[in-house]
Amino acid sequence: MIIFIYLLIGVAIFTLYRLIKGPTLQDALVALNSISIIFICILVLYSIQTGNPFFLDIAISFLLLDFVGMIAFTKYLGREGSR
Amino acid sequence: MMIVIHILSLIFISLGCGVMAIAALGLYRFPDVYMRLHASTKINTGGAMSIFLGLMLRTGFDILMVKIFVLMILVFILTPVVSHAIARSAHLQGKIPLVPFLSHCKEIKSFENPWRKK
Repeated sequence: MIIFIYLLIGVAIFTLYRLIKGPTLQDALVALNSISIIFICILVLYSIQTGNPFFLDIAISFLLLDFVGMIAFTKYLGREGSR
Repeated sequence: MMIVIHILSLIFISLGCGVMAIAALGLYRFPDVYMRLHASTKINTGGAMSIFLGLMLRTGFDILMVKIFVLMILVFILTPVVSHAIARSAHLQGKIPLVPFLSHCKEIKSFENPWRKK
């Protein structure tokens, strides 16, 4: 079970390339969303492996905060004619 | 019966991790915003759904299972909304998708087809 956590950490580090070197801002947003979902999966895997249910609350609140932040950022970016 | 559920949950979790790894490779390789969004959606719904389903099989009927079910429903609702919002902002900013069959359209002036034979 712990090997999946290490694999997902490797995937998140590999996705970090697109966050740093995205040509546009939307590429960075896509990579950031993927990294947050991978982080949520790591939290859930760790919670089941240790039997501690408090990481699941952290995962749910992190998902909601990520959703609100992403929607605010795209509303800010998505005006007509903004570059 | 217990070992069957255990092996089934391991299969689901490894499937989700493999889908996430391949989708991260696609996020590294694809040339456009919309194609990267297509690869990112596989991480957001496919991999996460499979991992949550495997963990729900593993825990049994418990408070952990209820919390993972709530998280699964929230991921299933919220992440396509975020993907649509990112695609909408990219479309409103004037990003043109790199589709090889749109090169004859008259409204796309500055289009360079990367797959066309020179």
